[in-house]
Amino acid sequence: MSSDDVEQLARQQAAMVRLCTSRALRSELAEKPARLQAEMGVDQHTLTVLQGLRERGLPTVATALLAKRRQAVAHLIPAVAKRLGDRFARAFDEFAGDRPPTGHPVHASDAIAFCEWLATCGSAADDWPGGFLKCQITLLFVNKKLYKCAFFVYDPAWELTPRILRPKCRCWWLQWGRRVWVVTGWRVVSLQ
Amino acid sequence: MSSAVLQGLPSLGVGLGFRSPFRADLFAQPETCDFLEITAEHYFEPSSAKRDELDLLKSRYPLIPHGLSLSLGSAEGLDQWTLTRLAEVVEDVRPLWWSEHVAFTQAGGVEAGHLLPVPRTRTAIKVFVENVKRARDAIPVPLILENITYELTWPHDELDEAAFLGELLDRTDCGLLLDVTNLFTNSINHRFDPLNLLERLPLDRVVQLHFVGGHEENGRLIDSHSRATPEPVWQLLEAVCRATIPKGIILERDENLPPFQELADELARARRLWKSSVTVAGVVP
Repeated sequence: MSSDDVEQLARQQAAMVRLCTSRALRSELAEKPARLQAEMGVDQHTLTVLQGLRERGLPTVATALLAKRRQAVAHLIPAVAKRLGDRFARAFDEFAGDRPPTGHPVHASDAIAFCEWLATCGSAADDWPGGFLKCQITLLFVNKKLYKCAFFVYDPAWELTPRILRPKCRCWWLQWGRRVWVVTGWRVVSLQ
Repeated sequence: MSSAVLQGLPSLGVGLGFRSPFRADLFAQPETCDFLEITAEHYFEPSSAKRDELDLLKSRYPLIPHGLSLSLGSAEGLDQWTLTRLAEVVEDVRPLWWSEHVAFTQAGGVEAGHLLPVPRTRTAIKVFVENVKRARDAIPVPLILENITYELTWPHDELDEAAFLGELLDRTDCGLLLDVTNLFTNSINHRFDPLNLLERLPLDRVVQLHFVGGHEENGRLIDSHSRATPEPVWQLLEAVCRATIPKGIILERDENLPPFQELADELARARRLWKSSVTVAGVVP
């Protein structure tokens, strides 16, 4: 697909998704559209379309998308949601307000990113037990080839399940403010 | 896939969108459902537990994979990882058809996390034609497309919803998964007559139906799959079943799960509608 109109639509869709997943960009569209146009590198026609979308309810769509994300993540980490109770929604919205979901599978990646954020820089971090959190790296080999490297948070209170896999591990340890994540073990699983 | 080919697909009957909490009840009362719809993404690179679950479901029910994240409306094309995973699930399940949405979910490398509407333009139809062609090359099984709920429409739409869906299905040669609840929800939120829209939809392309109840929030209906099916949706379902013969009807309950018997009662009511539809048409279910 290479025609101009399709490329134009691709730019408009990309801008719409960015706006739906960023509170800051939505605020700029409303208050400083010229600045947004420069930042996002969109042409005047695309900006007009985005303003039209805003008038037609883009903020409502963004709120609905955020609610869907929150709901999906709560399903994946029920222990975290239960522990935070009423504060779960506030904490998740603080985390997700300017962070689009990324990675595969999308909600699992979102859940693990939220947990990391929660333990390190979220407003709920002080509720968490903590100077450091233990974790474990699992290497999965299939037919003698490394298939996946998974990063499991080890604190049983978090109840993270193997559904939440990272496509690659980050590091042996991670220090962020007062909190340190320590890799306490390796596990190798080999499937022939 | 002409409408004659669609009409030639075998009938599956009435079933549930499978969610893990239903598993025990489903196997205790297997006669409740004729088939199940599975969310394809739940079985992407499955863990051994999900693998076992899929094998168990396959052993008892015909399965229809329902995709959420292929993003057939993305003008930048399809994500290869998602397409490959989806093809793996479909190949594993060997369904009569599979389904996706008239929507896009990702663009510019960013996931929206849910279904977004596309502009109702011929450019968007062109995008679908290309993406469906690529999906078909990877998944050679009939594809049906579902109408979504939308909070907004794009500026500069060239077509209304019925005309857009009609042209889209014609050009992509796909069947229609008509979500009756979505139709009802949009009619309330955007103030139009759902029967009027229904009359203008290409009902000869209907293969499957979805129905469930949502909830109200700030004066708007939310498609949350969280309530019993409301009476106006039953009435619409009945109208659809008078006008066409769906091959399958799925109750899509995701949230606020009631005792299973309540779902079984809804399925029994849907089965009566479906049977009256096939009886009127003189077809043996």
